[in-house]
Amino acid sequence: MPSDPHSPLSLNRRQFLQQTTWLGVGALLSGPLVSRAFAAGNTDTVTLPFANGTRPLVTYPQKRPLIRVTARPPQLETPFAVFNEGVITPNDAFFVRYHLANIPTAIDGATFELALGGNVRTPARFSVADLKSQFEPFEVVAVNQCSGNSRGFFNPRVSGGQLGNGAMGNARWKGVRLRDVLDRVGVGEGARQVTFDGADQSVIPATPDFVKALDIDHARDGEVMIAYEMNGSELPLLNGYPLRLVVPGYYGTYWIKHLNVVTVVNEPFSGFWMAKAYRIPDTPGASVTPGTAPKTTVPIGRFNVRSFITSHTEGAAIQTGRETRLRGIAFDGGRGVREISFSADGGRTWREAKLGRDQGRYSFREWTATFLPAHAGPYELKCRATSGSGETQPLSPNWNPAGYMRNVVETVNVVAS
Amino acid sequence: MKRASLFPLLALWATSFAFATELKIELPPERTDLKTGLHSDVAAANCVTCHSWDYVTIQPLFPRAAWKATVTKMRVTFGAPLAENQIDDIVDYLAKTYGDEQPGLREKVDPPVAELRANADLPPKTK
Repeated sequence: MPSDPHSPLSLNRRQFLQQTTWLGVGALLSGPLVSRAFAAGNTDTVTLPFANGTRPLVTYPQKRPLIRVTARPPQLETPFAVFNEGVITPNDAFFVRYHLANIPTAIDGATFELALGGNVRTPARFSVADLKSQFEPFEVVAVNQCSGNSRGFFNPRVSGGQLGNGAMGNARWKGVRLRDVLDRVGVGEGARQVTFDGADQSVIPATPDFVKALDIDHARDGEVMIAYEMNGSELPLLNGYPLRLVVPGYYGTYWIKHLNVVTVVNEPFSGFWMAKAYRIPDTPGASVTPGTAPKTTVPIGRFNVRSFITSHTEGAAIQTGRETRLRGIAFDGGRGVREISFSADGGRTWREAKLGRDQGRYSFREWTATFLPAHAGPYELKCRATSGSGETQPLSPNWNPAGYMRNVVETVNVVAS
Repeated sequence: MKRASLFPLLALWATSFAFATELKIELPPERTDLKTGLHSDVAAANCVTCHSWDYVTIQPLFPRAAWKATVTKMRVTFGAPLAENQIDDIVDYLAKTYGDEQPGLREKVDPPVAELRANADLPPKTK
């Protein structure tokens, strides 16, 4: 339809657009007057493949619908199909895990401060802007995975967050090296560890605050970082806005959100969340005889090696006599994935899969493979990753009472017809 | 719309720059529907102080000993102000209402903990 750009109607429309643009910009940039408020709502359910595995899919602020494990504090799991979208997990799909229910729901990134103290020469406070302007930026693509990812598959079952395989994600983190910030304040003689605390707090004072510690050498390795960006954007609030610790290769328990206190200490930190919780059996594979307690434990550390098939879901239909393309992801605690094997016959025979682009030794690594289902019937698909250090995935699952570090070879059953 | 009327809007926008970084969220509501049963009032008065009720409802059909360990941990480790008899009451309620002591359980719901292997270890077989 022809339109006259000088007609009153067009003019009004142009002015209207101009006005709404300004309103839009104002809404985006304004603070308390028009705060960036994100609302949320309910939708559907999903059923994870273990007993009592039905969960609501709930839309949280800055998130797409995610699997709600618990509401308060929020624990949200990424629907597994997301991992087939690419090796980077989008911010709005990234899993959420808090421990204490008194979480911040409004944070001003302009006034938020990170305090460094303890055994340092010059205690200091840094705003997010200070970190961005005073230190060299550092980026890494790294997987964050909950210690208890896949806990719901443990047999016998163990108590805790009953998670499927979606308490993991891979992001490009940007921020500053913790080493650079520690060097600025000057680590004192005799420093043993560095402790990390965030703005989330307990509901009652008697509950131990969520504080974690790293050995001083680890904290200063030039890889542990304080992130202010995730995949090119500020962190979603539920992932730690505006600052979170990133500990590449280590379980998420160390990745303190809303990081606001860093303390250098001269003794191994004895707080509850290090000394009593997040500990694994001091045994190969962090495994003990199912149903028994470990004799000695150590703090959980680096990821073990894992791999998943993402292209096909349990029970999927494939075509007989037609080449089927499989795709998946693999990762480990920092040695990098060296090899992925793939089996279409339940592990009787294995073939090497093709590795995708290398985004760094802390990232998910994509793999692809093809196979030809010659006859109709069931096929038991498996994948098995080997890390740069030669560590590989076990064929039978590990077990420990806390439900940590599951990394058994995964199976997806499909049917050709 | 007159051009002059943009001015207040611009001024508002400009002043808001200084506070441009507050991020505020509103969390979705939680479900608080405890099943009714003996001592559900004790659970309702205590358990949901620090966490939502889904911390209970997501658990598998644990035996009494597992519930006892968990509720005891709430007092000893997390500082819940629970008297000994309250712990017993809550454990009794959980075992009989959410655990493996639910009446008629084996006929109608999930397999008990000891029989979970098929579900827990491997995804369900298609054939």
